[in-house]
Amino acid sequence: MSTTGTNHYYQQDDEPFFYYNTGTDATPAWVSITDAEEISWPVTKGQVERKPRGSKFTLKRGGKKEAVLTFNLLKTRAQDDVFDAIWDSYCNDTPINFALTDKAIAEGDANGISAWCEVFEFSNAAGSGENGVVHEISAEPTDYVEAGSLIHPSLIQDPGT
Amino acid sequence: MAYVGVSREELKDLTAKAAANPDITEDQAAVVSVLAKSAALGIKSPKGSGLPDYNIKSEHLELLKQLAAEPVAALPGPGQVESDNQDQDDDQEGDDVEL
Repeated sequence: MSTTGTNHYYQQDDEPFFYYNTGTDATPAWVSITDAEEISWPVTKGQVERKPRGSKFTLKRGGKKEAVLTFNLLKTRAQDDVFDAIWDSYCNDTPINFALTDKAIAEGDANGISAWCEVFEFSNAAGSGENGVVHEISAEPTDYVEAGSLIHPSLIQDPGT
Repeated sequence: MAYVGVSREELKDLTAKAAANPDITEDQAAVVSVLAKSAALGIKSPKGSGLPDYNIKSEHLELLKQLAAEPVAALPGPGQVESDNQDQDDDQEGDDVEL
């Protein structure tokens, strides 16, 4: 969890903030997913090659971006709305809005990514009773429509950077 | 885009008061409805983390506070009091005519 108020310079890997939206895109209400671990949301970009005769080098330009979100969700005994929302997205193809930021989203200078996703992988397992139950989740941006408009993934960026 | 943290209790209270405002517009009601639905969810408060239950747009929190406070602001102002006096004056004038 965040170590706001400490005097450390570098950020720890457990500090980023992970949310899901219980509202709409126009009226978001972000709730922190505190039972998640091993969150990874790398953004990659396709490469388009240009090989002009006038250059000895292959020049490259960016293509389409991809953002595959993976994380583990620790299963709780109590009813869990986060679990329900993720399970609903897997079972019923319901879009769910996630956000991953480097600081608390309300801090104003947070950077990160937000996207309406669909859950494509949801692991279920029962072990020997020694470990907690963990669901391995994978989700990717989907074509969510609100008020007739397609909502694209967005990069949350500190206005000052 | 600026977000502000708000507790579940505060969000429930503000949305309930805002929804009861008789002067609420259709667009404002849509925003209040979405936030009220969020507040009604049985989320687990991240106790001990110091994190707020919800993070909503600052403009939406301002809207909720404005709508929730509206009934107090709508109390009879000086203009309306004067208007009432005017009615009384008119009545008195009417009485005078009858005499």
